[in-house]
Amino acid sequence: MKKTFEPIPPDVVRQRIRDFILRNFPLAKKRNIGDDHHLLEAGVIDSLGVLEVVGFLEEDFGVSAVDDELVPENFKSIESLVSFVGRKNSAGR
Amino acid sequence: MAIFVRPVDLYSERDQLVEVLERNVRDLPHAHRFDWLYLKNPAGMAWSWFAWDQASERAVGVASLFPRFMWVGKDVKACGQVGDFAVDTSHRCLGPATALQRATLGPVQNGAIALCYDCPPHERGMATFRRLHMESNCEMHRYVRLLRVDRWLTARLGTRKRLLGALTRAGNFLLGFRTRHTRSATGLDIAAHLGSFGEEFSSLDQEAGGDEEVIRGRRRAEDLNWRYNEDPVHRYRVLTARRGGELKGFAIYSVTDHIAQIVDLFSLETPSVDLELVEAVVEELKSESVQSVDFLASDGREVSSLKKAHFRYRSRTERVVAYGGEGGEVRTFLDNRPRWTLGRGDVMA
Repeated sequence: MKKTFEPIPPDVVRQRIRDFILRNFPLAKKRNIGDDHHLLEAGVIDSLGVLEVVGFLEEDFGVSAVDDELVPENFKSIESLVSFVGRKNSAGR
Repeated sequence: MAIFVRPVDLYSERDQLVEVLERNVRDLPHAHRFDWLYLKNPAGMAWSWFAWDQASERAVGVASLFPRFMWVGKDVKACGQVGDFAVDTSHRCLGPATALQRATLGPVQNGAIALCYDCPPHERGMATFRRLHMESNCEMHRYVRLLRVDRWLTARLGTRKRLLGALTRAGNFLLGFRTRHTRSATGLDIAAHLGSFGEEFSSLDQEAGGDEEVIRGRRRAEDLNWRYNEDPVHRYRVLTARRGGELKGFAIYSVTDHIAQIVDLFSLETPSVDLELVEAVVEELKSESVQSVDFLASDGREVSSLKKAHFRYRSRTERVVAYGGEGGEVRTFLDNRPRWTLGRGDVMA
């Protein structure tokens, strides 16, 4: 059966993404990253990490990302990820 | 998308390409090896692509495909190896890398080559392939023979000089006992080979030929001369095995900072010739304070000679991921899981 997703408030999205990043990427916890911290330039997540984040977004928010969307604008920080999920939700994923 | 992939003009955009590599892969003299690697390969010029940031009008990533001739089953085919793949840290978010990886499949799709393969050295490098739903076709494995224990013990015992000295002498003495034991039985002459690779090497490759279930790199004289004699960065040494003057096999190796690597080992009558060649390399290196010898082999390669020569398995290294198009005989060949018999020389960019 296809999983359905209710709209989730941005603050909840932010908290879940932050929890996921801190739980799965040791450098994020070590550096106590903020929501605007550049995850890619700081080496917190790399290509494989992005793949994990994509899987998480899909599983938790029903948001899928095509290759063209796997760009720094969408993945560079927790705030970028929150905006990306918001845009995808508005566009019907 | 603000980032798109486009082909690189290897003449007019050479400096930009080198800059991306220098920013991201710092342990190689990219400018120094550019002409050799990109322009003078006897199998053809490289194909290269930039991941191009439209906003800043600069390259944020690069990937290349270097032509190789390979025995694919019974036939020699033009193939390509992906290499010099680099994306700026600020853009390592999979999109640019996946787009570059897709671009490297293009020459297969348009029929310029039969297949291409990439050799990501670690799990992170598999991210783009997972995105493309591609799996590895084989894996490379590292075998090592320890020749001296000086460095190994120093790393573990540090400054305890008296103990270090005693154990080093004892360890090196014991390792010295592992000597060759079969040379006299096979009647082969093992000797250093100096200068160019001649036509006899092409004949050896032809005689070894192809196998319906095997894929391997071609080793004609022009391939070997380019790869090992004309490389402007590395220096290689060659030992040949002959019987009655006729070439039966060869080993190519290099030594850097007291660590040796056998980069190619090829022979008829394997594994007996292989064993003699490997042991001859080891003997050569023993007189030079070399600490250890590395050998990289794909999982389809015969390694019994290595084990007899006291090489021990150390680790899994590169994964080899191949693409043979969406249909046709090469795709079918790959789908039938052939044996890849690759060595370090086949996975070096």
